[in-house]
Amino acid sequence: MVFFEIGEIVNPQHSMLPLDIDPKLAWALRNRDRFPLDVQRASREELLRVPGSGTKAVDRILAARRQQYRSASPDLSRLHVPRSKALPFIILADHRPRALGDKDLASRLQPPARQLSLTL
Amino acid sequence: MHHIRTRERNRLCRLAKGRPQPDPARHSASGHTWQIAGRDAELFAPTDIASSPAATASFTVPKAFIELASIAILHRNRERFALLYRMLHRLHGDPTLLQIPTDADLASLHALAKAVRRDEHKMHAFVRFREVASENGSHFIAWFEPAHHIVELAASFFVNRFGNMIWSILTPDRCAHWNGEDLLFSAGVPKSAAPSEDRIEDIWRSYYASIFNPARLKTKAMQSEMPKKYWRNLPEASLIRPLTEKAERMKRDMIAAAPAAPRPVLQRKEPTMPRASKPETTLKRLHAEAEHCRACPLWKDATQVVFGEGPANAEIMFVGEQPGDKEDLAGKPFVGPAGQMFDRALKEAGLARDKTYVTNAVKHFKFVPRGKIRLHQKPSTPEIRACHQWYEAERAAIQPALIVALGATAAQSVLGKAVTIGKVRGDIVETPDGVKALVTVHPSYLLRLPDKEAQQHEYAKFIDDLKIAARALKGLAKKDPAKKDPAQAA
Repeated sequence: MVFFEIGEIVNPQHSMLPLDIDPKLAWALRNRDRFPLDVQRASREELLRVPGSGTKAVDRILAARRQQYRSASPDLSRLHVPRSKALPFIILADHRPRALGDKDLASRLQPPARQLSLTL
Repeated sequence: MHHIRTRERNRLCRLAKGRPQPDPARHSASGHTWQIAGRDAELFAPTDIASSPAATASFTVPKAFIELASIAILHRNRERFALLYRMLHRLHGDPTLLQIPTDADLASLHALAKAVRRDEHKMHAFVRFREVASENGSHFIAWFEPAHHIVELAASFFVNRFGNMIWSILTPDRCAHWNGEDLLFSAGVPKSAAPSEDRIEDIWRSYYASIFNPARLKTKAMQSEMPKKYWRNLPEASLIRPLTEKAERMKRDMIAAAPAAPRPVLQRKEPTMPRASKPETTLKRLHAEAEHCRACPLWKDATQVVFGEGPANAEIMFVGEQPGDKEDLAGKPFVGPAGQMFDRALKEAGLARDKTYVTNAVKHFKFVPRGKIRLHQKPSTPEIRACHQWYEAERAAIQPALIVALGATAAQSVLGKAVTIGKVRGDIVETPDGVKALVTVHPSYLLRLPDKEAQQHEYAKFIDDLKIAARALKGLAKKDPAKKDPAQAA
């Protein structure tokens, strides 16, 4: 994690990584006061903290922004950013998140339960 | 016939550069449209575009678009022309369009180009030639069914790869022919025009079957690299199913079969790690190993290796330069004229030859033939360095209390650097390993002196040096009780 400080992901309060969701998503859920981010205005460092985004996607968003292009939600799939993970945390030209304050947001972002193999 | 002529691609470039060049043969009325040859243009059906103002207007597009479009246009997707026209139109209004990676049209165009490049790559891999005899040697003919219009794009690869063969690649759309000098294209042909199986294919199949490893079967990875749509023209593809089905059983059989020992001739004798053995056996082993030393080229002309000689518990070790003519023939060090003089000098200095170990810095004789005699030559620094390992091994085995280097070459090997004999002569110095050492002249130097008087004078000095060594040795031997005669200790 080059774009997180030591102690942001794992610290005395959260000494273990969550097993069901990825560390970046867990961090975003813990720090909802920092979101939603307006993709049109946020800095590169802020965008890199959006769950599901990576350096490649962020650089492409910034390249488009330099050409006065406002990113919209269909762009996410072209950037290979998972919509379900990123949309609750960002403001796009055609999207404003509403679920950020929901208590059950974390449980909605968890992967669906999967039946384990019954064979021994 | 679906094919995109190179002319079409060129025209695309011309159009994009904004220099309309009507082709009177086929496009007298339609201006510049992208279309499939032999069909009406899909978009902008022949109308009087040439006379419209747009046909004479000129604008530029980024070079990157030309490159991208020239690949994407080869895609079989019917929408490609519409997409390209749309992109061209949008680029006319917004030249920065290519810098917006999230744009839907641009993403589609990139997807088309990627599919074409992938198909080109697969064509490079999956074209299988069949040899057909012709009047001027062999003609190699391949049948291939590309997913897109890539024959012209991919052909240059085969020119580079099989430039000295005469070949044709037949496809339903377009055929490429190489006659050794020119690359020609012709219209597509049906599959029946391609030659049937040749005898090489059985060999190829048996090779494919023999390299198949049932324990490494990964059908998904295989199919992503070798998609099924290419299978029908691959001779080896007929083996994929039987091999895959048999894999599980082959794997079980392999595990069940006892590991077979390799044939004796294939068994390599691994050199065992030398154990801490007695110095005598170590020296014997070293001598045997040195006979096969090829670290420098001196072994070629020399008769044999001349290894050190003397008791393994010797407290003093003499290092000369290299074996001479006599030593080379005898295989023993210090037996020639210089060796006889050395023996005499040792006796006079009160040292017994049978209690000293004598060796040379270089273990092979270096010479130039002059008529009947072999004239001694000084060994070069690389040769001294190459031979240093043997001196080191001898020193480690014997662990002498004192080393006497005879001459400049020996001093260089013992002290690890070149020294001037006149400056260090007769002093007890320390080698880099911390062993006491003394440097003096080589006995052959005394023999080479022309003046008898000078010879006697130098000989006396040589004896003096040896006496210093003998005195030093007494002191060192007393101080070093660990160094004992193993025979006495036992």
